[in-house]
Amino acid sequence: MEAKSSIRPTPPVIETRRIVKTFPSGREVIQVLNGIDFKLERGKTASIRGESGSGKTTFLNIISGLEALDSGQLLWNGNRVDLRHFGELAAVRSSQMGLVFQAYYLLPELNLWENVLLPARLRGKPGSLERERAEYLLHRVGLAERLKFSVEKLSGGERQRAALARALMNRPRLI
Amino acid sequence: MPWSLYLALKQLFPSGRNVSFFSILSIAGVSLGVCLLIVVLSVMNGFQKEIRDKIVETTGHLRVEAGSVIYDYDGIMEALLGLEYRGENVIQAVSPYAYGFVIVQNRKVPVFPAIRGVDIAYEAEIVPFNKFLISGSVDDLDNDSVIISSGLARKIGAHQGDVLELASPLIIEKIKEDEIMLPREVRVAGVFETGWTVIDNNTLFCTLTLMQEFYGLEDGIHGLTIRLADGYDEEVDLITGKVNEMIAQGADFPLGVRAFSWLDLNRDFLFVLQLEKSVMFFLLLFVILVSAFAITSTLLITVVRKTREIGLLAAKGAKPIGLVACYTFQGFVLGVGGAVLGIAFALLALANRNEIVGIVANIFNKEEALIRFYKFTHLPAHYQSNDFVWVVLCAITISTLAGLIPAFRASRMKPASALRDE
Repeated sequence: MEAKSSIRPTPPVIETRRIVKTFPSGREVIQVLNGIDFKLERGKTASIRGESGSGKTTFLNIISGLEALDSGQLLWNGNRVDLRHFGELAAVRSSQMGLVFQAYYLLPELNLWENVLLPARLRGKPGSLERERAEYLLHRVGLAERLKFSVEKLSGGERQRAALARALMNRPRLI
Repeated sequence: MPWSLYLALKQLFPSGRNVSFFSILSIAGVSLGVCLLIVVLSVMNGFQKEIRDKIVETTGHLRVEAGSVIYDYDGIMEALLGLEYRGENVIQAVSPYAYGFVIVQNRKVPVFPAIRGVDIAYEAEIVPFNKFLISGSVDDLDNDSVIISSGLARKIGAHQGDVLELASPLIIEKIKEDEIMLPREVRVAGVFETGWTVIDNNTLFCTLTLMQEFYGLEDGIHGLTIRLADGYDEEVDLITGKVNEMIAQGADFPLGVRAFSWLDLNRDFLFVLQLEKSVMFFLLLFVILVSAFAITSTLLITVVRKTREIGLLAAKGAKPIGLVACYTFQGFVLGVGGAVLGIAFALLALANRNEIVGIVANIFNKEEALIRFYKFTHLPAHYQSNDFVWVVLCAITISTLAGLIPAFRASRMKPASALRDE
């Protein structure tokens, strides 16, 4: 895996050093990641490709702090991440990362605008700036007319755009 | 509002969608328990209040007794009527009495009722005889007549105007002295019924003079009954203490004189009434406990259904403690909703309780049975604020605790595993 193009080399937004991850499968142990070194500098875009089951999602989960690793090191902005402190990681992830999932995971009990505003709400009480930003983002992804819509009434494409708007809500350093 | 509480409310009452059926069922369960508890406790309070009022109405608030015969009681009566409590004369009336048992015979049916000799001029200020009389008149009561309770009248088949034979327990004493004391013939001046079974079953009233003659008391009495002025019912224990303080300091009082409140005299009976109420509370609390299980299972299903959403929240920065708060708060809200609705239903049911009893009695055609066995056609009810507070506190606490198991399950979910459920 390799990141392309660079303007400012240090500190990398994400860096992994010899990451190893295994999963037990019955009596056997499947080694999914075998000593991965990876760097992603600020302003760069990286594409992670591989066959199905090769560990792409596991790797993404690990670099976003969602999954523990067996050995190796993970660094965010040059700082080593201790994956045991889940609560602290949650706060950092909330402010620095925007995650878009394959299945979007919009919450059905919230309307579209409330879903986009959710990351701001998880950080504390959203003010008028955050409320306006949620509206702005929905406007940018072409869903300004659907603010109060139930997410269940949206098409797949609309849900995808809403998930993207939600990922951008907290102005993350990494998406 | 913290996100955990916000999301809890949104899960219970989603934007633009109907309230979850599970939430409605859970609230209905808690409200049913709360409603039942409030209705049963209030009706029991009503019965208790009726009984307590009846005891005070028939026996007065306090009694002063010495355990022996008291002579020269005029000074005691005067001192009692002059007693001040918080700067007020709280004793409204004092009446002397003598008390014992007699042998009564009518048409060769002997019974052994309690007899109470009173000075009707004083006693009428404490016991509303005219209200209780079924037949006859208090004005007809003289030293050759008695007023008998309805139960006693039924037992011996006596009516107003009949002549009864009364024999004093002194007969035995006289026999020891080789003397014969013949039974005394007295007329039934009236029949009364108070509604207080203890008195109605087996009691007989006569004049104090007749009783003194019967028991050989000369001008002595066994005690004094006291009625307090209106508004001092709740302070009867304090006033009893004040009376005993006065007795202890007064040189005019005979040795051994002591005041007892009606609460002291009926403490065991009142304890049983309170125990009945506590047992009812405990048993009916199980209705709320069953509802709590419904809340737990509902929220557990929600947690399982929303596994990926919980994973998403964790991925987006939600802390485990926030997830605990979110699901515990849902239990709390269901408890509050159930308690509010339960109280509303209970007040509605209690406001229409007599109509409900009437309908039930009509359906089973048993209105007469109600009157015959329970002596009522209407249900009494009395609201006590501490009952409401306890019921609401129990309902909310149990419901909140019911949310803890699903809450901890949600907080222990690992985001990556939860999202992998996809």
